[in-house]
Amino acid sequence: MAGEADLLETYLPAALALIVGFALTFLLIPPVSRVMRKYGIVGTDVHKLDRPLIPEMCGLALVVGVTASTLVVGFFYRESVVRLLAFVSATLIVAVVGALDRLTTIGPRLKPILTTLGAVPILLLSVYSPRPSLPFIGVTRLTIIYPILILVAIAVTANSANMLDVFNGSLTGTCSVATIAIVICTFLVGRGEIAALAAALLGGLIAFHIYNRYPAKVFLSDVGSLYTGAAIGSLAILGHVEVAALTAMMPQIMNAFYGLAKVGRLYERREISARPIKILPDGRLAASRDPSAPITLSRMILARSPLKEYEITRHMVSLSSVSAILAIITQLLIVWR
Amino acid sequence: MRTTIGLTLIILFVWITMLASLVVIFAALPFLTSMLTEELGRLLEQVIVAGLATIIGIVWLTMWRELAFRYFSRILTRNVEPSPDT
Repeated sequence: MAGEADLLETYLPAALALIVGFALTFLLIPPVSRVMRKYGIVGTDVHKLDRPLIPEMCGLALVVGVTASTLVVGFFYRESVVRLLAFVSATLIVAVVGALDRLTTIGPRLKPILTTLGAVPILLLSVYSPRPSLPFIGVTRLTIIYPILILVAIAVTANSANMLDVFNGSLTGTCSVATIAIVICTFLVGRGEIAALAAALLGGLIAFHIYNRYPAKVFLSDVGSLYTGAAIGSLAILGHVEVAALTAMMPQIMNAFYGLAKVGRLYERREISARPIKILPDGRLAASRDPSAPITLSRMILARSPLKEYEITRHMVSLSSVSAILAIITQLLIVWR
Repeated sequence: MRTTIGLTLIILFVWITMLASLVVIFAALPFLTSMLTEELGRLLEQVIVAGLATIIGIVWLTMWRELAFRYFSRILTRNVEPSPDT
C-alpha cells in the first residue's frame, strides 16, 4: 500500500502536468491561429504545390500552455520553486527572442547570441550543479567551464531545434520523442520535478503536433521552435541529464552541424539562394543536386529517392526514436555505474 | 528503410565516438598528464588536458563531417534521377 502511495507521489505530478500541458495548448491553438490570421501573420507552406498561407507564431499557444502547467508542478514541488522559476524565465526569454525575430528579423548572427540570454536566469539563480555525471567515469568537476557550457547549451538546443522546423510536424514529432527520453532519464536520476516539467512540455508538443502534422493548419514559428529547444536545454541542465539530452537531440544537432559545416557560417534559410530541396510536379520532394546547396538532414534523407513531405517527417521521427533509445542507454550507463 | 539505416549508423558512430572521447578526456588524459607534469604543477596539467581535449573535439567533428558528407555524396551520385525544378 505504501509502495502504491510512493508510486502515486512520484508519477502523479508528471501525469497531471502532461494532461494540463496538452489540454491548455490544444484549447489555445484555435483562438491564437484566428488572431494571427486576422492580423496577417501568416507564412507560405513552401513544400506544397498550392503554397497555402498558414497562420504563424501559433507557438505562443505552446508557450502559454507549458508555462501555465508549471504551476501544477509548483503545487506538488513547492521546495523546487526557484528551479521552476529558472525554467520559466529561461524559456520565456528565448520565446521573446523568437517573437522578435519573426516580427523584426534579428539576423543569423545576432539570434544565437540573444538566445544565450536564456541561460542568464539559470546562472543568476544558481540552480545548476557544475558536476555533470558521465558514463563510465561518474561525477566530474567542471566548476569554471560549466557556466560557459550552459550558455552554449541553451543556444545550441534552441537554434538546432529551430533549424529542424522545416516540414509539417518535423519539430513537434522529433522533439516529442526527445522529450519522452528526457522524462524517462530525469525519473532515472530521481528528479521528479524536472520529469514533471518535461512531461508538461511533452503534453504541449503532442497537442501542437495534432495541428502541425501534415497537412499543417498552424506553424510554430521561431517563438515556438526556439522555446522548445531552450526548454529541452534547460531541462537537461536542471535535471542533471546533460549527456543523455545531447544524445536525444542528435538529429537536430546533426542537421544544424551539417548546414553550418557546408555553408561555413551561421545562416538563415531565406538568405540561401541554392535551396537544399525542390518540389517535383507530382508534389513529392527531391534533394537538390546543386553542389552549393546546404547539406541538411532532410536533403540526406531525400538523397536516395524523392519522398512525400510526411514520409520525410516519419524518417526524422524514426531517427529521433533511435537517439531517444541511445539517450536512455546513456543514462542507464551513468546510473548503473 | 535503407535511408533510416544509413543515418542510424551515422548516429551510432557519433554516439560511440562521443562516449569514447569523453572517457579519454576525463579519465585517461588527466592520468597520463599527471605523470608527465608532476614536476611542473597542476596548472600545466590542466592546460595540457584542455588543449588535448580541444584537439580530440576537432578531430571528432571532422570525422563526423567527412563520414556524413561522403555518405551523402555516394548516395546522391548513385541515385541519379531526373528531377526538374518547379
